[in-house]
Formats: sequence, structure tokens, C-alpha cells
Amino acid sequence: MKESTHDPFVSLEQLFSIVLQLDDEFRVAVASSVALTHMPWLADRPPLIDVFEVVRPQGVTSGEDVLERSDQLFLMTAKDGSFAVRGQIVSFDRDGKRIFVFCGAPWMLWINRELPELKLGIRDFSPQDPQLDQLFFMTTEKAMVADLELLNEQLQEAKFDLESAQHARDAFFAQMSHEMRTPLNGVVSALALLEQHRLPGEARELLSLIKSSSQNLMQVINYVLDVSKIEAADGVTENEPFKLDELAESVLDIVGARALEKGLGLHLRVKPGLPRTFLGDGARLRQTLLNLVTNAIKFTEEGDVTVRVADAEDRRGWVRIEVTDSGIGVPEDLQERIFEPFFSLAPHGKHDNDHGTGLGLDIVRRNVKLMKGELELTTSPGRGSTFSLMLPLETVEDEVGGSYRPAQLERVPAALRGSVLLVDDNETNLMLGTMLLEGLGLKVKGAESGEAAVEKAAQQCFCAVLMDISMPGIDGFEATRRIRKLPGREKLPILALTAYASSREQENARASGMNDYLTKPISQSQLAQALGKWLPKSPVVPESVESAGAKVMLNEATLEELAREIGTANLAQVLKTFSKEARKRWDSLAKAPSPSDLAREAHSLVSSCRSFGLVTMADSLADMEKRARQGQSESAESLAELGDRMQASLDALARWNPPGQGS
Amino acid sequence: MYGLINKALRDMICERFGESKWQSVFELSGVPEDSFLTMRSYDDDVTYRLVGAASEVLGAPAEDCLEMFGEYWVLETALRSYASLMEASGTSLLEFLANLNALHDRITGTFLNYVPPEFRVESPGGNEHRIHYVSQRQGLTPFVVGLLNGLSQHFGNELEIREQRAVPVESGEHTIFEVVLS
Repeated sequence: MKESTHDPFVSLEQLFSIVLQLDDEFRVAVASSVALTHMPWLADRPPLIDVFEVVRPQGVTSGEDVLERSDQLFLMTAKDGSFAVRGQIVSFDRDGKRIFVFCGAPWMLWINRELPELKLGIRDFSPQDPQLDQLFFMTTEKAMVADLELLNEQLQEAKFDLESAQHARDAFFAQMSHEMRTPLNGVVSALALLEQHRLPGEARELLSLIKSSSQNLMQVINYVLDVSKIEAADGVTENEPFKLDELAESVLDIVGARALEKGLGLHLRVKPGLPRTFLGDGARLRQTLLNLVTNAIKFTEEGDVTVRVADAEDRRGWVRIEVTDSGIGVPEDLQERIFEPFFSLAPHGKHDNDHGTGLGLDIVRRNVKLMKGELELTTSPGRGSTFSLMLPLETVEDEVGGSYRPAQLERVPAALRGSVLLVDDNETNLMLGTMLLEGLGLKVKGAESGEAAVEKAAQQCFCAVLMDISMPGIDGFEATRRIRKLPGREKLPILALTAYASSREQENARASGMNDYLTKPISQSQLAQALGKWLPKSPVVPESVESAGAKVMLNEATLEELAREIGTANLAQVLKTFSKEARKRWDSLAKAPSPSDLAREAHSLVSSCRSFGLVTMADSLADMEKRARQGQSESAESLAELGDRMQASLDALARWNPPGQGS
Repeated sequence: MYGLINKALRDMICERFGESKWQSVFELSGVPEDSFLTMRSYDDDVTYRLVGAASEVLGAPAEDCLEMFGEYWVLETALRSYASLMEASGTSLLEFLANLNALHDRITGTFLNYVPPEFRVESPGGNEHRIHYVSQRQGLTPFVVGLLNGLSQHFGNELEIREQRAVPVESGEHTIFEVVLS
């Protein structure tokens, strides 16, 4: 350290590297050593204003200006461009005279930018000067930016790798699902055919066990597919208009028969005045609601299951859908766990058809997350549960969008006529498919490859083609394209029948010119329903009942199919329950105070009448529902006439006997 | 120590011995992550574990690894990433060492957890100099040897370390280097 001195200039030079003492004429009388090193011309005592451009403060052009602004930061560049300084003017009295001194340092940032070749060193700055700290900051900032860039690059790479792995996994799931569905299709179809045979009691029990096990296995395969589809969606959902009330009704229609069978009340309460059409992912919402309602019915032995649809009062633009049951409820310690895959409230080991595989709520949870919604559970063990689904849904003008009324509810007469070309490279599938189709009254030709299919389609005129997709040689898409080019085959109905279930496959099917898309395994009734859209129907031979001038059509095929599905004894019980319920509902319908109540009651009867083969009754009720929705009331005569028809229909149902159990 | 030291150690092993060697070093060290932020302060133990693992994986004494790292630090890391600071700190080895404490003082004022070593040079005359290295850390003298070699190469000086001796201290390390510089 330099020795202490009485010379203020020397003291200042210890504190500042650039010190310029000014004389009376504002000349640089004395300059510090660092100043002289870099600006040797200061030794000639030049006037400060002559050799420096004062950048700050502005407007300094004379010595007097300098003195006036002595409390400010001075930024000065040498007029010859060789250096720049920054500092402050200080003053003190010495021997009765006022002395002015510029104290500062090199203007580091200006020099680094303008004179990069001039290397400033630590010795050019006094120890307390903060400018070198700036240099550290600048250097370290560069290092930090480089760190961030590197991390960003690593993250991008990791993201890319992850996405590639995800795609590979999706492809694997799709392939696995295909591989599993194909043999399972054989199992399910064979079981359906076997069920039509008379079997001793024990064999029938075993068959029922195999059937429920294969259905469970199908649920697991579907779950894997659903999860992979949700994950592949990567946060992207559909945003199409759909009618929320119809969507909810269609979900209840699907589970209606099961609720009826268990003797449960199933209700839909849509808040009056709620807009009908919303923008969103209708298919995903439908799957979510179906899982919730199915679950509610599963775990309710008596009482009711109610779906309430309303706007969320406290959140604008949100819809609240509640599914309430009077079932077993969920114990507090299990309320989180029920959303885990494979968790079931069923008694240990009882993963049968009735209690499912424990996968539905996991799909619900994933779907709700994807739709950016919220799910709440309020439950009381032994008393029931309410699952509240909150969703942000934008409303749109009504009368837009498609209907979600599922086609499978509209049971079509089982008897069809015409010839069908069945294309499948799997011999078992071909055989089983042929049997199922023949069972529907169709003539069937088989083709074991895409090439054979094109050839047969060219030789013969079929009413429809059921086309497998994945085949050696040309696949189903290519075969379809070739068939479409054949003369007169432009409008031939071609339906994909495949174990692939991805939406991309469905798009490909449509793009190749197919009219519809069916997924294996497929039941006889599903085949009948799908083909029913495209084939001429045979006149159904109804049991005609003359009553009060009304002709009642009972579709026995529907009842027979139901008998096969749930067993004759169960069906008899269900029919009794239905008759009782239908009479009750008819009473409510007849007393309905308004067209909207009439429409609701009529609607609930339409689907159940159709479910039990009361086709004309269902049609009449559907017409009535339509009129009521348009605000029309029914005349007393019309109601009375329809009431008679309902009575006659129920009578016909009561007289019906399953095949082999003659009256 | 700041992340820049650990990062430089990783860079050196990757550049000179390959990524797979670094992976082995990293795995053997048991250090939880191999991504270091330059200006984040890490526990000294992280650096010591990495050096220990490098010694084992490379089959060389830890002292040799540290010396190599010291040279790499000056010639690669410092000149690449901190060139302006290097330039500001001197034009010869002696000037650099003379200014190094001032540089460290400033860094300490900015980065509060920074615990730099101290260098002092005694020049009795001629080409002979006595360099004192005083640190609160232990075991890093070989690293300083590498630094001195790297700096002499950078400034174009010939350096010969004639003697190196430890001065007993209560904690940390104090080493005296008797050097000839030309």
C-alpha cells in the first residue's frame, strides 16, 4: 500500500485509477499514472473540454458547465477516440483556493466494445472499482446461457427419444391387441354358436364361466387399447359439437336392460333450460359416463341410479354431470384406490362379469384429465356414492352436430336375405363367420385372400362384402380399392371386419372406400345390426294379435337373442319386471302435465319396448316422443288407442315362450 | 466448489478418454447427477469423489489426475470460457500470480460462497521465486502444480519447480514452491 500523504491528489489516486486535477482555466494540470499511460497527451495540460467529448451529462460544452454538473456521473470519450473514462468531479479547498478534480476509472464497457484490442488489466482499476465485477457477471452470464442451451438441447433429445419410445409402444399395443383379438374372436364366436346347442346343466355352467372369462379378457384388451389411445392423444381431444342430453340418454339406453334386470330405477335428470349442444370430445365423454353408470349399476343391488346433468352454478362455462347410486358406497380408506387399475371393490377373487375387471374408473380418471375436467367422489358406505364430473364445455347454437344414439340399441330383425362375401385369411374365422351369417338367413361365399375377394366380387354380384384388413398379399384396403374399380361395384357395401381397433385404421378404411367398420370379435346380433343397414330385410314373421283394431308386432328373434344372452329364467323374470314397469310408466305418460314430460316418459318406453321386441309399439312411441319434443300434446283418443296397443303388446309378451318350451 | 470445476473435470475426461470412461467415473463416484450448473455451488465432496473415481477408472494416482486437470483447467477451460478475465489478470506468470489475489477478492465479493485460495510470490532476485499457496482445502497441491505448468505454457515462460514443501498448518494446506522462471 502506498504511504499516507497530506497531498489530496495522492490520496485520490489511491482510490481512483483515473484522476485529473483541473486548474483555473479548466486545463488538466495533473494526471494520474494510469491516465498518462493510456492518454500520454494529457501531459501537455490541454483544456478538458478540448480533448474530451462529454457523453453524459448532456449539454456540457464549457469549463463552467463542468463545475455546475459536478454532482453527476461523467462519461467522457477522448476526442481522438483512443480512450474513455467514467467518474465524478469533486472539489475541495486548498490554500484558500477551490480545486476541482475528476476522479474515476477507464470506461470499461465502451473500451471493450470500441477498442477491443486495448486490453485493460486489473491494474487499470482501483481495488474498490466495481467495473471489473461487471466483467465477471458478463462472463458468468455467458456460461449460464451456455448451460441453459446445453440443458435445452439435452431436454429436446430426451423428449424426442421418449416420443419415439411412445410411438413404438403404441404400435406394439395395436399389434398385440390385434394378435389377441383374433384368437379371442374365434373363442367368442364359437361360444355363441355353442350356446345355441342343448347342453347338460354342468356343461352350460362351464360354458357360462368361459363366456364371462372371455368377456373379462376382452375388457382387459380394450383397456390396454383405451389407455394407449389416451396416451397417444398426448393431451389432444376432439372438439366437435354434440348434444349432451342425447349423449346421456344413449348411455342410459345401453345399460337400461341391465338396470331393469337388477330391478333398479334408472333416471336421467337434465336441468331445464340447459343448452343442448356443446363443443367437446363427445366420444370420450360418452365412454367416461358409460363407465361411471356401468359401475354404479354394478355396485347397486337395490334402489336407483340417477344421472343429473346441469351447468356448474359456481363456474361459468362448466358442466356438472353427477352419477348417484344407492349402492354399497366406498369406505374412506379406499376412496383413492378405486381409481387404480385392476382395483375392485368386489369381494376378493370375485372378478366376475358382475364386478368387472376394475379398469373402468382408471379410464374415467385418464379421460377426465385429458378433457381438463375434475372428478369428485362423495360416498357413504352402505348408502351409496355420487361421482361428480365437472367439465369445461363451450356451448354452441342448437340443431348442430350428430346424434350419439347408438345404433346397437335399435334392435333390427334378425332375419336378413341376400348374399354376402366374407373375406378372411383365417380359416377358423371364415368358418365361424359363415355359420353366424348363415344363421341370419344369408347366403355366404368365403374368400381367403384379398386377391380372391376381388376375383369373386368380379364374378358375382353380392349384396355386401365383409372384409378383413390384415391379410397376406394385398390387404383389405387395397382389395376394396380394386373392387371399387370393377364395373357396377361402385356402390357395393363393403364393411371392414377386423381385429384392429385404432382410429387411424378406421380412417384408412373410409379412405379406401369402405362403407363401415366392424371390430372383431363380433356377435351375431351386431353383425345383423350392421348388415341390416345395407341389406334388404326379409319380412319378419310376427305374432299378430288382433286387439282393439291394433296390430302388434313382436319380434321374437330379439327375445330369443335376449334369452341366449341372459338365460331363459332370467329373461322371464325381466319380462315380468318390464311389464310392471311399463304399466307404471304408461300411467305416468298418460298423466304427463306437459309435452316435455310426455317426451321423457315416451323416450324411456321406446328403448325398453325395442329391447324386448315390441317393434311397432316402440315406433308409435318414438313418433309420439318426436311430436312431444316439438311441443305437441296428444289427444285423448290418440292416447287411448296407444294405451290399448300397449296393453296388447304386453299381453303378447306374456304369452311368448322361448323356443323349445311350447305354450 | 462451483459447478464450473466439476464441469471442467467431466469435459476433460470426455475429451481425452471418451464418454464411456466418464460414465464409468460418474457411476463409480456415486455422485447423484452428472449435469453441473456453472455458477451453482456444490459440496466439495462431489469434486473429491469424482477425482477419486477418475483415478480408479483411469488407473492413475489421484495426484497425477489432479495435475493433468490443473493444466487442462488453464489451457482449455479458462482460456475458452474466461478469456477476458485471463487477459485482465496479467501478461506473464508473475504478473498473473500478483493479480490473482485481487481477482479472487473481486469474485468473493460477487459470489458469496466462493472460498478461493491465496497466492503470494516472493522474488529475492534473479530468476528464482518462492510461490506460497495457502488454501482452506486439502489435497489440491497437485492441482496447483498443473495450474502453474499450464500458466507457464500460456504465457510462454519456462518453469522449473525445484522444490515443493508443505508448511504445517492447523487446517487446510500451505505449500511453498521454489521455482525458477525464465
